[in-house]
Amino acid sequence: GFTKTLHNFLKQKLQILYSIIIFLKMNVSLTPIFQNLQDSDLSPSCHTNHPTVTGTSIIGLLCSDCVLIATDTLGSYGSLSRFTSISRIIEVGRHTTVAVTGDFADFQFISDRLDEKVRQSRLLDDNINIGPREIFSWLNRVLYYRRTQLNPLWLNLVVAGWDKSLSSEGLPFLSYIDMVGTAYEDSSITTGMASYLVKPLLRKTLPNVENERTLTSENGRKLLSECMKVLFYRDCRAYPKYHLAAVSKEGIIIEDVLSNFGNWTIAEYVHGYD
Amino acid sequence: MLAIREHSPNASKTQKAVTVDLPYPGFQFDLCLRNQHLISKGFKAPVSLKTGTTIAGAVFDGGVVLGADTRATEGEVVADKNCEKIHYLAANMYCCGAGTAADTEKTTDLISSKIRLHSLNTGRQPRVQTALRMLKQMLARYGGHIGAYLVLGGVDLTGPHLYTVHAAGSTDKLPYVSMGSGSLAAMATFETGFKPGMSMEEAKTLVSEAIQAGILNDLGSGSNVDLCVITHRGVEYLRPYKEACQKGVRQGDYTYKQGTTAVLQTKVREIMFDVVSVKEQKMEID
Repeated sequence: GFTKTLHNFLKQKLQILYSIIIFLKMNVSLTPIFQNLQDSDLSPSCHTNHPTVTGTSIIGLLCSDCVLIATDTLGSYGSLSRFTSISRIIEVGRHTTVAVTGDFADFQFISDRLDEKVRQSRLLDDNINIGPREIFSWLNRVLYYRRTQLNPLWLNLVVAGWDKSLSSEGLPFLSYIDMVGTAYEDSSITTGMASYLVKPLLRKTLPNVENERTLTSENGRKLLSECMKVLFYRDCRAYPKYHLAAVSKEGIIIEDVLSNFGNWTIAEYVHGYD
Repeated sequence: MLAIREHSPNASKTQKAVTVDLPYPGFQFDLCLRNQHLISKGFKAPVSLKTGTTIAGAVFDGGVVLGADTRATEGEVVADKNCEKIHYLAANMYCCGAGTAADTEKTTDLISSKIRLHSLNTGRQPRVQTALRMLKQMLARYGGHIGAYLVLGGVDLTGPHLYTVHAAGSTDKLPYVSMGSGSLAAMATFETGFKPGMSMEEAKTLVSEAIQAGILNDLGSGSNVDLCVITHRGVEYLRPYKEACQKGVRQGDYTYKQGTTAVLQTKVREIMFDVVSVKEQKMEID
């Protein structure tokens, strides 16, 4: 009697134990957390991280009464000179110009946003115009933010203008912003290949003293013309036609300049390779 | 490896000839797999000494000017502040070297010896083109693994010549050239300043400015400018031509003047001594 009830009791317990084990086993293999996991859920987010249509270098100079920027009018599609008549300089309001090296689509995107900024500023109707320093600050923030999201705007920008924030008369302003968010002001700025080819020439010619702006507008134009010639000689993605933007107290003037194709008399001295 | 095998006395006449194992030509790549495996396991391969350089040359009316900086880098450190990058090939030709320092040194040394033997053989002054051929044929044979990027210049009976040689063996003959990491800065200077048929002084100034542009704008180049002016009359080796980066003058003086520390007390104690013996030894003054 006793052993039989004990036997039944144990059997019952064992059955429950077995059913629990089976239940647990089933549950471990069907845990919903790991059921429908894809590979893409585990890898980090990835955005397109290479430029498509690109612009090459920019050269910017601070003169005594204006700022000069020169950019050629070429949009390269890799090694193809695809768009030979694009403007890589935009006017933002009446006192600022922004020039771009890098992806042209990102430039058009930022250009729309900048136009919107100017429009909003005008709509406030308070006679306070957005200036180059404000644009510089805003672009720096935007580009750095996009870098932190690992989704950069592939742009190296040069912001130039007539800045009235530090003095009522106004002073010429020239600055640089990188695709990673590096930002600084200087009296001469170069981006792209010009940093290697043109910057040494500028460092030799321009005075080494900070805040000294003794370069006249005419000498600045001559210097830029020389530098664009050197770029055409030695940069594979350069073009002989360029835009020269001059921003002064009066406003912005953008000229179309056909660079002199250079001096090729040296060709007479080159025969063979041996 | 050269192995000379001699046969036993009973060997036949043909067998008695000393057999020589010819050396395997070119580089041996047997250990590449082993090196790859070691690197994957965390072994840090040693970094070769590079010259991270600005070298340049320009032809003027009657000769050639070669210029070079004097910094040798080993990774991110300056290994040699004042190394010699303009190497002697012959009395009438010199060669500037960029790339791996050992490769440029040994290649120019080897070709210098070959040129000497060649000129003794022919009984004539060696031509720059001969040196160029020897250099490019050797470098091409090694497929670019000898990292020597050279600027070769000299004057022979046919006139002044200036060439560049790349590691893989390609050459260019030009009126003005620059090589190395600072070559873009130097080339920009040439593109704005070069005129055909310059005088010697103009050419020296131009090349010196080109090297200075490299020194000031490139981190791999530095220290001084060396120049080498070659004409049919001879060679002027100017080392250093210009000290572009001079060590700054000390602004402050950290030596203490006499009397900075006040003397509180002076005590003189005589040391008592006795003369024990006197020995005289003559010094040889010949």
